Amino acid sequence: MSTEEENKLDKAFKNGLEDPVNEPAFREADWGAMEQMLDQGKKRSGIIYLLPIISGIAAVLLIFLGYFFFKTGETKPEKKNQVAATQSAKSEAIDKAKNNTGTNGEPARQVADSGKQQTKSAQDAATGLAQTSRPESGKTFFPLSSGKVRRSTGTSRPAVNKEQQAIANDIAKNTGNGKVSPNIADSKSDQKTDVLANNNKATTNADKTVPGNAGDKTALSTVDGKADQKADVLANNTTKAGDKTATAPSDGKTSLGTVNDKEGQKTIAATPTKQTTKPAISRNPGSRPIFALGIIASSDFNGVNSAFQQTKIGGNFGATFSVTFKKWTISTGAQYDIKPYLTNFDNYHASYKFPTNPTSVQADCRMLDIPLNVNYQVYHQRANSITIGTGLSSYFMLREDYQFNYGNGNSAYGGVAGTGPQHYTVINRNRNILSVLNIDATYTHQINSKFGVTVQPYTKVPLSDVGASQVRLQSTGVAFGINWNINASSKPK
Amino acid sequence: MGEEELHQLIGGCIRKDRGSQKMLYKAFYGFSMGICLRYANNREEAAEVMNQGFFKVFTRIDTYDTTRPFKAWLGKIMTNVSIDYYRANLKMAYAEDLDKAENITDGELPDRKLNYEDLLAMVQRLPNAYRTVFNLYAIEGYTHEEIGEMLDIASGTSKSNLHKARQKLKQMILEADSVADNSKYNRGMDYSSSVAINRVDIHNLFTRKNI
Repeated sequence: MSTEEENKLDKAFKNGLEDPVNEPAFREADWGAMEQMLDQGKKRSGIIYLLPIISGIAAVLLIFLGYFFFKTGETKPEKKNQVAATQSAKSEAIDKAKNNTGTNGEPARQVADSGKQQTKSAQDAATGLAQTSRPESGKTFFPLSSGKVRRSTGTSRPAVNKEQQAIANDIAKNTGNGKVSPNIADSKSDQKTDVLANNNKATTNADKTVPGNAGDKTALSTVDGKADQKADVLANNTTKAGDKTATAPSDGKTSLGTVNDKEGQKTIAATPTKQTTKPAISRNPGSRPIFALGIIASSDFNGVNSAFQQTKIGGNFGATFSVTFKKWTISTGAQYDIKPYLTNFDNYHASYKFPTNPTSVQADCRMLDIPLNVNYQVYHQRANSITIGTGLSSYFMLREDYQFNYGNGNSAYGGVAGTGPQHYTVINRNRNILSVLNIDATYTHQINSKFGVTVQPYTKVPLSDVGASQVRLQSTGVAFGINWNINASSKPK
Repeated sequence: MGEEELHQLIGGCIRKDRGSQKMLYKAFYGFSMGICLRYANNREEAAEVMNQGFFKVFTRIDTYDTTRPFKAWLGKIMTNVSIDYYRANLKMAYAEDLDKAENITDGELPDRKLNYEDLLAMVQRLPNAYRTVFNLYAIEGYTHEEIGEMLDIASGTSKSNLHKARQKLKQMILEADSVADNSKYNRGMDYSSSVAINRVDIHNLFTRKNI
């Protein structure tokens, strides 16, 4: 066809169709249908348009609840650990105090060492770093001492400050060791100095001691060689430092300068390490939710309208996320589904009018399946458990390929088969929100506390027509998966 | 309809007044149906598509810019709704080969002017994909690039579909012309092949109340 002829044709249709001589007459029936649409529109906006919002809220709620449970599940045992560690450390401290207080001069040295330690631990407690950035031993030990240390050193400091210089000089005189006295004299604000001063007061000048002072109490009790059953954390630190320096020269005055803070810290830090591991095991795994990630792969039979004589086998794979609390499990995830199926043309719905109706339609659909399921545990023995569950799936159609089979339908009219479309592809167009009912039974075998394998027979029943072809696509199959319990206890339940 | 009356109707539609909606619907029924008929297979489908278009008009009328012509806005909506309605079929791959058809369309287009009904019937006989491209290119005046974007197809596909549509239309015109020549009737395709009226038809003819 020449360009001139094309233009002539176009012009003929443009002129003829653009201005119809007699416009189509108004039909009341069309307005009736319009009114119905307008009335339905109100209902649609109330229900259908709210579905994505509702599902969004549900997802947010799930995440929020999951986060909430996760946080509570993690923090509660921490507190228990601290309390348990505190108690055991206290008793140990008392025991050690009994053993060590008999050595003349030792307590003074011990207090000197613990003074620095206490100050540090008090700072740690105040900044909240003790639990997070410190080594594991620090978690339990520093909070132990911080509270009481603050009180005891707080009371001792004002009472002793006035006499610090004088007493420091006393120490220097008594020891005759030039290395020690400057150290003590320089650290006027240090608690070590305070306590040492108190100690020296007790040993050299008993008249100057101040009754009721916590530092004095410690010093006095150790000098007297009596183990005070009510010894506070200060005593605890004292005894630990004392352990470390037990082999030092018996002359406490001369050994004062040789006490190494680092060594003291090491000794103190190493002691509670053993204590912290014990309470962790005693946590009850059943009383908190378990979060699990999983991968899943399945194979299923797909058919339309329960016509399983025309089934085709499909495959799916994806990732899951679940929250288990006692016997209930809520799970969601994302699955890539490959669903081929074959159906009679009667089940295929399209606005397109086929010149010749195909006999059957062969489809290959790729979709994203977002399930939201709830399972209940019906059997549980040792590492094996069985749950049954139900839920809804949303299909996000990624690609739909339809192949139209005409068979020999036209052969009677000339022997040419398939004068209509042969295939049809739709990409990323259809979404069916919560339109498929999931029913499943899941067998789980827990390999260890962290990992388990699952076998899950399932069926997916359509609640509405899905895809461009608007078919009732049903699937039945078996899924296999591996679960990883993110926050599992050390032992399987 | 005057501008003032139109604005009053639009105001009523914004307030969801059903009476105003019906008046606007009636006033632009013929215009809208004329567009939808060009894209549809038949009048029933055209009515369905048109109603979807009016539904959009009524639900989004608050977005209408009153400084622009209402008819142009309405026409654009009707075209878009028509495209959307048949979008699922626009990418249909046809096994049908047009080589045979091209051979048939040898010959010149007749100069005789075809009436609206004949032209509409011919366009409606085209497959959806061809019809949509022909409408958009020949009647609406879009370019192949614009059509490609609107229909989410390649501009080459648009050209190909337009070519095939023209071939088919030419074939239809030639067939209609040859039939008209043979029957010696004045109105192109508009002829009747009935040569006898049976007794039942005569009875119906005289008993119908509206005659």
